[in-house]
Amino acid sequence: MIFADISPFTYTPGATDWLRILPELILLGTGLLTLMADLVAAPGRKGWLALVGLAGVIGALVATVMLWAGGTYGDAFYGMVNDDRVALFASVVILFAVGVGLLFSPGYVERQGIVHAGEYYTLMILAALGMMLMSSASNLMMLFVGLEILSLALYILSAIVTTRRRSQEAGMKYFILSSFASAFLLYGMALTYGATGKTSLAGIRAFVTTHAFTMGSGFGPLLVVALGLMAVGFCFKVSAIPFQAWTPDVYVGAPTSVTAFMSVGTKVAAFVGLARVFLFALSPLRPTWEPVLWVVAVLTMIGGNLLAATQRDVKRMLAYSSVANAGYMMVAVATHTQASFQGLLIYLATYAAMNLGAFGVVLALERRDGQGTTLDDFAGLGRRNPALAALMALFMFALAGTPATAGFIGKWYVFYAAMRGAHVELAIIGLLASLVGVYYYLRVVWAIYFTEPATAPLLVTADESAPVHEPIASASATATGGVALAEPATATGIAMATRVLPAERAPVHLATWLGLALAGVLTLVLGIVPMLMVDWALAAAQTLVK
Amino acid sequence: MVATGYLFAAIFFLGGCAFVLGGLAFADTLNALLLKGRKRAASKFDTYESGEIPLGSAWVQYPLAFYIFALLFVAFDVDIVFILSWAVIFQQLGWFGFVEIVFFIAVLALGLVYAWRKGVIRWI
Amino acid sequence: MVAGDIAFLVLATVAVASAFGVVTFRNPIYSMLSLILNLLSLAFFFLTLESIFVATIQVLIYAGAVMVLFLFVVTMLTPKGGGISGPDRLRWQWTAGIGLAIILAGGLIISLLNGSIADGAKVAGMNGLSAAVARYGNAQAFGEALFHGFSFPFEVTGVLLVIAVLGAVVLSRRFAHE
Repeated sequence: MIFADISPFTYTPGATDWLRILPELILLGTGLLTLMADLVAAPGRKGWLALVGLAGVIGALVATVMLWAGGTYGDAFYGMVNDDRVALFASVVILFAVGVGLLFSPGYVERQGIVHAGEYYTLMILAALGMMLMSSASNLMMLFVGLEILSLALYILSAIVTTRRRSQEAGMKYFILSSFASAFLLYGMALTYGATGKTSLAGIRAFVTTHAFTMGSGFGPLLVVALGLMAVGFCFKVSAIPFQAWTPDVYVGAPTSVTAFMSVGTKVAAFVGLARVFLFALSPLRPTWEPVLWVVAVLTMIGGNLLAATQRDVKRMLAYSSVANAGYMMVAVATHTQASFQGLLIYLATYAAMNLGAFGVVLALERRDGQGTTLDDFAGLGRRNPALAALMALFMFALAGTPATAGFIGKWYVFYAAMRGAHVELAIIGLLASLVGVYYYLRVVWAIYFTEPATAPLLVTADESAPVHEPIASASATATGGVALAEPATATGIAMATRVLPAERAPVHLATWLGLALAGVLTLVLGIVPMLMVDWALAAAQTLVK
Repeated sequence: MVATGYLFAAIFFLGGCAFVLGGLAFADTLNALLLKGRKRAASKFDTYESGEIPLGSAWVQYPLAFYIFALLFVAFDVDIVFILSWAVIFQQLGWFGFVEIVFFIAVLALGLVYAWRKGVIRWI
Repeated sequence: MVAGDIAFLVLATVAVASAFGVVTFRNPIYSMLSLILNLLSLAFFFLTLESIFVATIQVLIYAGAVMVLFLFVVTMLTPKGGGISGPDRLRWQWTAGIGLAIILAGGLIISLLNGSIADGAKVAGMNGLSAAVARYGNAQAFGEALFHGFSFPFEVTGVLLVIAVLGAVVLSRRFAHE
């Protein structure tokens, strides 16, 4: 290089660098392939694109496992990304989430009449790519680019049901609020760079370790402001209280298959990113950030569970439940020990299995107009569709934390680590909060097996099933109408429709069954024989938290 | 450290602005004192449209197509910045830089092909 | 360097005032014009820092392309010259926002007075990069950093741009053949 004598940038990537991001490369190739395949696919027959996507996801999964088995890991591309155990563990969970999300999609896309089916699959895969890049970033810059890729793809996916106003509203809300949070995060990163002169996480850690850190002088105040801004950004992305306001509306308005995927994938990417920044790079500043995350964890656990308990729409309840689960994961971050980070990874994996499954059942029951997910719709499901009912019961028991299911394992490792790591109070608050969780999860099981369908005619809005021609500006009006639907007595201006009989419900697509079965099996396996995953999580935790 | 060259340019810029604005103000004052009629008429407050009578307000809703074009323009404008910074040193960068930029352009070209095939580039 | 200080003060005043205008104007077009002014003054900041290339990009991309995009959105959503009208329903948010802004500004001012900008961040990006700028020029040094150091984020940005194109197509057309 001609500048070699004066420029620090003489780095040229070699074969190792490319090998280390092989899973991401496969995913990128698959995404671009589906984008091109969409152009030649006949309209209305785009289900096979999901197969192409699935093949890519499986390929990436194989590559990830090979990298794990290979045993060597390190930075690639000038310290931008790495393939350490944490990145690979997160990649496996993300790939599982996107794989199941893709399995859920063909039937759902068809039923909802999503016209942009080709883009849908491309965006799912590219969103997963962004999540993987974010969780394998070893540089703040890469962390942000990964976050932007996943966010941008998810904004579009949330709004992709162009004929339904609530979906458009979800996309709009997510976009505006989430870009705000991204700006906070970016500002925090810029100030971190100002204080340390580094963007690489290892460099920041080295700087913070070797330099005096006091509030009165030096780098203290600047890093404190940076920490606060980054905490806001991350807390928003993981939907922790008080930054949860967007979660219910976006999760309910977005297509259910997207909700299932993003509720899991975003959490994995954002929590691993949070762990990389707070538990690794800024670990020496623990006394400063720990109280903040402590408060956030407590607020999120209590608030999320109480809000979830008041919901009658199961999809909305699951949205608030994902807020509550963010609180449990935040406990693991606030505890900041190796065991707690291991607990966080375990929680992420188990949460992926059961939450994907729960949203999958909701998706199977959802009607064409986006309704049909309230507790009343679950009434008598045990007789109408025993298999679906049994799966939902399994996922609800798992989310409630019943032993012998995945949910118990996750909670056990997080709370046990909290107790060992001198945060007994967090563990106790968490346990009490999850008791509230037992109530609202098991209420669904109660509805499935011990109640009968209401005799009142089901209500269908006249305008929701028809294509929308009004501008988005009127979307908020519809949203209030949509909420009112849960209470038939207050719903006004709604056309009466004939009762939807069980037989008239759309049959569940074969791929959806497959996805549900996968999630169900994993929920049981992780609950009964978790040791293999626990070991992997420990191996991953050891690479990041010493 | 401030580049003094730019500072000079800035001073000239401000001086130019002051010259034009001052001249206009002077001419306007002169005009008001000597030439301007004292009569107020409605037509004096009209928008000047080359002799045409203005129809309606300039605040109208533009079609969505403009917006898509603007967005595509931004996407490819950002593209240009990267290509430019490659072009100024492409000899030093050698084959690796070439592969990099080709990869980048190829990815964006796929986006363009997609937009084209979807009929976005077509004017309505 | 007195001249530099004066230039900085003038630019800083313009930048802060125009940024304030962006959030206080109730007519979106005025907000946008003041955002353009803000972006231009940022470009001048880059000039005073000898980053000619970044300053040019700032004008080209932000003050140019992105603002055109903003303009189309504003004109698409606000016909008839109507800004926001009616009483301000976000009063308590204003109070809270100003309070938080004061805290943020206080933190930043304290850290600047403490001299807590790391040496690594002071030398125009990274150690030695300013030397490369001095010898080979701005755009060249930028390209060197982009294509050697930050080549990976750069490639990934391409994916981001493709997603943006996809989003434009998906969100602007409701039906498959429109």
